[in-house]
Amino acid sequence: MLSLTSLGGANPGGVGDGDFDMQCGGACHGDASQNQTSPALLELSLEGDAYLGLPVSITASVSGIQFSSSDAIGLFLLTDVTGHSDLPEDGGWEVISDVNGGDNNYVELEGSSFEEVYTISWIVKPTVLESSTFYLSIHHGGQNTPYFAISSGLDIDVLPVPDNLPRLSSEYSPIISRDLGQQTTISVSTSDVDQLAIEWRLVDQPSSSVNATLIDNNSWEFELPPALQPSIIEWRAVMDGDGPTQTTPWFRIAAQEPALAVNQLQIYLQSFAFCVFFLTLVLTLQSRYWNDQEDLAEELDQTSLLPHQEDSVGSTPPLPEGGLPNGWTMEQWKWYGHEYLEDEK
Amino acid sequence: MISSATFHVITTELVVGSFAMAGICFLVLAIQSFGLFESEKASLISDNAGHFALGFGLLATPFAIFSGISSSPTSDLSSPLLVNKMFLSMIATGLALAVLFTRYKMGNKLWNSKSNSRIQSAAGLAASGFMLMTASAGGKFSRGESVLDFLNLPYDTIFLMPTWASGIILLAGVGSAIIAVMNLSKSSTIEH
Repeated sequence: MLSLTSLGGANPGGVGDGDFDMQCGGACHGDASQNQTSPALLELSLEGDAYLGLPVSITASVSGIQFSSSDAIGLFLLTDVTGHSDLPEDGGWEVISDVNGGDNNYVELEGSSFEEVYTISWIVKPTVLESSTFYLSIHHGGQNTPYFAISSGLDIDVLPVPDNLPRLSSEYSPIISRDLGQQTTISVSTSDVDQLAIEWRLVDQPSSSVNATLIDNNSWEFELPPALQPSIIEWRAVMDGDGPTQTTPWFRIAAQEPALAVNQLQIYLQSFAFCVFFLTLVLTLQSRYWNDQEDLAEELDQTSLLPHQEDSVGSTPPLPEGGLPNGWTMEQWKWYGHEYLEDEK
Repeated sequence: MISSATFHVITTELVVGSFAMAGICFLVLAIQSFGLFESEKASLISDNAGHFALGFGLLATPFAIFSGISSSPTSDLSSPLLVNKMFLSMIATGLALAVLFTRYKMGNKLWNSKSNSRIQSAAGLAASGFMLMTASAGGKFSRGESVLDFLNLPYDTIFLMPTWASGIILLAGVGSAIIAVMNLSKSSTIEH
């Protein structure tokens, strides 16, 4: 078993997307002290301005990756490099969506090309009016060695929202997942918007336009076509109003297999049924063979066939017609009377 | 306070360690029951250590199951793999309970019968195997890889029976278990 494991400290299977600090609690790379510096080139950039409460896209560009045998890399979006309390949430930012259709600061990507430039983005929303510095960190393996690198910082100033700026409402948070085959109606809440146009596209495909319907004041709805297989659709809103026209970042919706929908009671009941079934199976077999062993022992026990000592020795022989012979006591007759009777015959 | 995920790690390590230890002991006992190796000392040690380890693992099992459910992404059995984990761990629990009860009722005389000793060691080995498969499925769920990957086990497929079928098996099983327990209890009180 030991010979099957790699000698490095990396975890080639990754740990799955999630909200992780820079060292991911040791989950990705067993021991941070074993990390080698990754040759990857990392760069972060901000798409547009960051306004308080409005989503904005942060794009990460990664190239020159030495992929491990599993061809996977892990990328972190961080607001600190101390290794703790460095999630965007800790810096006053909310992650709305990531490249894989989740809302995590840590994502895992698959690839294999050293030459290729991988570009991914996170949609984030500032929740406090403060400046922040973002970092991109990478974890990956290669030649049984865990590699680690961190980008230079990207300073972002969060601006107050200008008057009359056509925008999404600050409480609005788009849905990021849906089930396969589901026609999706998306609601959009806006402020200072007179007209709303929607563009959607499959990842890296040309975009299409759909009309958004005004439901009531500042509330709009539009529909996205159902997905027939797991995939990601991107959409964005173009907002017109009194202020300058604004375009939101590309929001992502991942279409996935519906979650397992079974009655939990059914599963628990079947679990206990399995438990009792196997318990009973073993007990019954043991009981059966134990009883067989006892029957066999009884069959082998032939002591009952032996003449009983009491029959031959212990019982008193019948007295002769004249009664107890002269000179005999009853005690002597009991033990030796049968010999006397034999001699008389 | 610690999170349920951390608590799950602690309890699963206890369970897996104990069941693995028990598995080794029952393997030795199984080999001895087939007459391939004989040592009274090894038999005595394997018997005591195996059953003790199995009992300890069994005590930790409910904590591992409940903390596992609690630490799953939706705090319930929302994935086929988690459902399979539940089934496997409960099968192992049933086998381990039977092994411990049999040993308690029959005592050392259990090993005097070849059939009984073979059933006992096979059930102990199976309990360990099912529990290790449960742990393997956990590794597949959390890390995406497992030591049993080479077996290509169908973790994404679940064998789900209708509720009424489970109910019937449960009731019939409980009834049969009571009869078997009574038989074992009766037999164990007879002095030879």
